[in-house]
Amino acid sequence: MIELKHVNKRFKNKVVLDDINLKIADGKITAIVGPNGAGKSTIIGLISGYFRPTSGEVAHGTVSVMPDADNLYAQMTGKAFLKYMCKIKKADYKDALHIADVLEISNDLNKKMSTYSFGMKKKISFVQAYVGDFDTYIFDEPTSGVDVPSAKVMLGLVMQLAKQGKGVLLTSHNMTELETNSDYLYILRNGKIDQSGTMQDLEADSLAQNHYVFTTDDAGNLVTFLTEVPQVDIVSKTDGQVVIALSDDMAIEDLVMKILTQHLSLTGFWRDHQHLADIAFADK
Amino acid sequence: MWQIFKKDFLDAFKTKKNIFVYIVFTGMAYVIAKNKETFVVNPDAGQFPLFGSVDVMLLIFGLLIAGALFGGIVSGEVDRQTIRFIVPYVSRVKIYAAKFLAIFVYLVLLSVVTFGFVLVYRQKFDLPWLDISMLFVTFLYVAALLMLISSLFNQEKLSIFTAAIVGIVLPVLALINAIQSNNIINFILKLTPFGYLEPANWGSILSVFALSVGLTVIGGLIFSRKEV
Repeated sequence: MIELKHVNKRFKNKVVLDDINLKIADGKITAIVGPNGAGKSTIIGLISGYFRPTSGEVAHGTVSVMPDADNLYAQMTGKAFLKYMCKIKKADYKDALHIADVLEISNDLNKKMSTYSFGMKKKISFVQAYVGDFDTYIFDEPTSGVDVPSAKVMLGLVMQLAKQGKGVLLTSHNMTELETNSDYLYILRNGKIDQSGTMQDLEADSLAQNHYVFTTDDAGNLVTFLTEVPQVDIVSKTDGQVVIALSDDMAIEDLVMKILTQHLSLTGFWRDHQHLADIAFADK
Repeated sequence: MWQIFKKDFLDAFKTKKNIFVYIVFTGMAYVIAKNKETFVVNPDAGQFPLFGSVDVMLLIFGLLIAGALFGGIVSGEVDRQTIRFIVPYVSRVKIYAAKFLAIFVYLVLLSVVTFGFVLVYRQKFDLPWLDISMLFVTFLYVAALLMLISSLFNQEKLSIFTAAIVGIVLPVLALINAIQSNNIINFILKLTPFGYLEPANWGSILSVFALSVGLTVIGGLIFSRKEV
């Protein structure tokens, strides 16, 4: 398990992380989500030993890391790099070769990594991170730039680690990927943890805002009416659809009744399902 | 640690600079070895000491060579962020020690080849252990100084440039001081092996060793706290 307790990190005068408390539990896939500059890479850097916290505590066992794939040993071949990393990590080189084979880069291992495409660099960086016996594995955007079949294989391998009881920390800009594969998520904004929980917890928190979708043949008049209702916030509107947030002190049935009483066009309505992208990148 | 040492040591041999170094030094060793009357074991006035000449060659050029080959040994990896692949698995102390050893062993090997060439050519195998000890402890100093310079900077080019400047300036200062003694230059040279070459004795060897230890401790502290 990895635990960050009241961790603050400053680079010169800029506060990058502000009172971060998080856990990466064994046997679970934990994701950190947030916009660029939120502090995700800094958290990884603190756990990996690249930086030290300005204050607070970072407690961890052994960690295997997939750093930024662009920064490989350019003059080494893939094979030499994997041998080097396997010896440093006391991992079995045959395991590395097997994973390289599964990710379809075996044929490129004799080439210098300076000739590799971005996707190939990602794959080989993933391979070196995956091998060896560690308490926790950290994958920083493992599937970005990688072909879809290989991305699926990578995520499958990551899930296997969690099933083996290992802790996994994942970051990605692919929200669908994180939504589907993560057991626990932290949403990071401006260096602070804004929300955390399982996907169900996060959805429930945002559904407490009661988002509803109304379909209509006359969005203009419907929006005019809804604007007058104090318990309603318009989230978005298009020609045929209006999404609203309804406060807790009004039931949806009452609002629908009001709309129908006004003889406004309402062809359908349903509760809006919040996706991780909506939750993580909502305007605040 | 052994893997990091092996990689850095062997990487130095794969460069064109290394080929140039070995050609130049082997060439110089050949000239020294061949000229028996000029470079002798027990020199008279007007003759150059055999081992002293090889020594001086290695001492003067040691920092320059090592700087060119190893100036970016830490800063290069920080600059390119390749060091992020090893920091999670190997302690900072071991990384530092491995890189230090790579520089030191390279220089020792160069001196063994150079001296070896002269000895085999001359069929003369009396080794001046005092001079050799002074030379090796100077290599410790060079490795320590280079590691310090490379740990101070995050840009590889800057650390190589700084190492090259230091490698040129120190022998020049030593030469100036030999021609005309100067207190300030003398003080600076006392922080380097050039301040202890004459006479070479166990006291001066210990002094250079102590300087090497000091530089290693400072460089090690800087590296251990360095954000990569």
